[in-house]
Amino acid sequence: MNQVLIAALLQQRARSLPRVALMLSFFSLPLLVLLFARGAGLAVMHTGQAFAIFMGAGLIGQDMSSGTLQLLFARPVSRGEYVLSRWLGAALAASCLTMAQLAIGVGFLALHNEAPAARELAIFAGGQVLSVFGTTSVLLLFSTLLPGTGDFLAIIVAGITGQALQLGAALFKAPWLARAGEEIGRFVAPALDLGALFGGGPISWFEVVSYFSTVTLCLALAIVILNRRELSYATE
Amino acid sequence: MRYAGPTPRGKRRAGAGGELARPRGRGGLLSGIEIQGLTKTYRGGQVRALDNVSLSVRPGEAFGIIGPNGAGKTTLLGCLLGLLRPDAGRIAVDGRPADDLAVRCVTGYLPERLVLDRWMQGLDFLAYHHALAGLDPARRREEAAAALERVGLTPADGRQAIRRYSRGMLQRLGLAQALLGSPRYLFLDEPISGIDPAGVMLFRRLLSEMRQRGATLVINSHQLDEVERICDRVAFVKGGKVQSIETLEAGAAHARVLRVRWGTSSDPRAVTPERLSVFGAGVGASLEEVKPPEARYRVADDDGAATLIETLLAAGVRVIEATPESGRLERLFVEPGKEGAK
Amino acid sequence: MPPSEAGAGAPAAPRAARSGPTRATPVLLLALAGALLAARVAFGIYEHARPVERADRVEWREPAAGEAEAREGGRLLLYCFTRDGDPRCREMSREVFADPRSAVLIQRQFVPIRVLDLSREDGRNPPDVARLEREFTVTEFPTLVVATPGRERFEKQAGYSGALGTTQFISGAPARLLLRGPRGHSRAGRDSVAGAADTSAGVTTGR
Repeated sequence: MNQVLIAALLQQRARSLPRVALMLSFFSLPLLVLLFARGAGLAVMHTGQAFAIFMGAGLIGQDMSSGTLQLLFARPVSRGEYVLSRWLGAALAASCLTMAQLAIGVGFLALHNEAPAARELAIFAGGQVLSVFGTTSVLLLFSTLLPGTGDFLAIIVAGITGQALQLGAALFKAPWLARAGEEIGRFVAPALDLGALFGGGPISWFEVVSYFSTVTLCLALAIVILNRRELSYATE
Repeated sequence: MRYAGPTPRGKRRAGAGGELARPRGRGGLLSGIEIQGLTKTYRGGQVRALDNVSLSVRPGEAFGIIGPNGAGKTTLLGCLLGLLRPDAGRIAVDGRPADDLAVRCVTGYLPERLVLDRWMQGLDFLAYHHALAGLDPARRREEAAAALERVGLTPADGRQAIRRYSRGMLQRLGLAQALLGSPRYLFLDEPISGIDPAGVMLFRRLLSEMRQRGATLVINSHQLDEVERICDRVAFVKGGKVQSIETLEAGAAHARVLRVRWGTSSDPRAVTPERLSVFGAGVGASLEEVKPPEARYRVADDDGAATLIETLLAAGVRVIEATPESGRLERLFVEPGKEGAK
Repeated sequence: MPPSEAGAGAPAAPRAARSGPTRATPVLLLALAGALLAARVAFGIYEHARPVERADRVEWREPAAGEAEAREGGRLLLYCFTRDGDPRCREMSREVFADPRSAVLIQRQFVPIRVLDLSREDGRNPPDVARLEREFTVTEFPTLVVATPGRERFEKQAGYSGALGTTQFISGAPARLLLRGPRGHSRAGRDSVAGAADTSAGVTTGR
């Protein structure tokens, strides 16, 4: 991984006022709920995916649209290195935000004597981190295909499409539609139920493999797509 | 078309304190830049931007690429930098493929469109590229500051966000990042675009310094006089093909029109059209036009021009001015039969 | 060397460590992705035929205890009418009640009561099961009913319409109940019939 690229990504995100504003909102609102409302529990802390989106939107597409990639790839930086560094930087940053929020949130829960058990907390935290890395990988793939922050729109549209298919399955009594919708939902929001995994019961290997399949496929395809991109304004 | 020109002119490499660069290719193979049979198309082959281009650039040479708009110059540069993938052909830089990371390590690039990271400050931008280039982190800040100063930007400019930079400042910053680490190969796309005259002189000096240290320059520019001034050889690209490669050293064969003006003290018998024509014919120059006190001769080369002037002077023509009517390279852009010659 | 010349030394020798194409194909990553994709398909087919039974995360109550709890706390009731071994019931349990988020949603908003139909196994149901099935006109399994604590208003969804449809029914039912009058109804889900329960024997008001 290229630390220079990761550092540059973090600095770039920190200087984007809209992103900072959105992340601050998503950071503070759940905490306010926990502070002032009882019984909310960890359910309001499912913000990992949101942080991943705010941190990761336009991960590649913005640099491609702006034209800065030409100069960057004149340096000894491979395209695969660039893709993976951007992904890792965004995912790590979003994970840190999620964990920081979780830490504060648990503190607030403790004030109400509602602090979760350590095991439950660890499982929840692990699940959020996996969700962050998974969502970021999907955003990364969309970002190599779409300019600017089109990846954000794509992930929203894909999510809605998946849900629409599932609803359509109920309407048209078509189980295959439901399955298709579920697979789209599983792709767009990759996550792993660590509670089920470590709960002592039977493990759904399909769920486990699906998660890692989505992540690796997104990363691999993102690199392949960027490798094929012609990055010269001669193509315009 | 492959061209192996004569020894490049002047300005050889043992410059001020710099060691002679010893570029080496892999396994001791050719150094410099080799392009063979390069073809690049767009839109599924409908647009042929480069058509079987072959040329070579010697190590330490300053090589210009000129041509009309849409000739394929930017595409050629893009292929040299690995930003574009050719459909056919081969490019080798120091014996390695153009898109090899090792080549990127010794390459500096100044693009025509300076789209830089606008959210960064100038100094941070240089430090960023210094880091990307894999240069010594211990000297990063120092070398970035030095690069800034080198291109005529102040420390205050370095603390400003790039989005506030003027066109000229952007161009200077762009050159500064291209020069980081003293790259062996410098690819410059319209390097003096948007620069004020002082900046142009600065750029010339910097490029001259790089050449003194043995760097190989490839310059794509519409500024023909700058190309003439800096480059050893120039490829004229048109329609995706290299139409010709011109050597710009003194004495090179280069036909052009010389405008000669004489003073009032000239021998009036010598400055008749008939006499002037005879003088020219005697040294291989043809008289194009006479409009006293000026005459236009077509000469074959610089030696021919010098000989013509000597002949005119000896015949009593008090030559007070002898000027090429156009730069050496301008004629390449003029289609045959449309030069306006009489 | 003066600062102005720093960085302007002799042309750099190659930085030895870096070499290789800038567009290297991620062969290992592609191979891994391909293998995982194949495994995903294989496991998908396998688990479609042999679904993994996950532990239900909802803390179900018995009818009497649950109804008393709901009356005391003023909370809504969620009845799940189910049959052992029924594939659709198991699917719903696996996809909805084993999901941690759904389980949390259910437990926070409702008093969940499982009503297990035993008519097939035993020939008849216990009295409270029979009463509830009559009261809410349950003819299909699974059936979900969201009811007010006094059971004067309720929303019903018969059959299983998938995880999304079911969680939407469950999460939307409280609002629908709130918006309706005492004897209104609404449709929800595939074959849902909502009605008002008449506590007099056996009468269910229609639409």
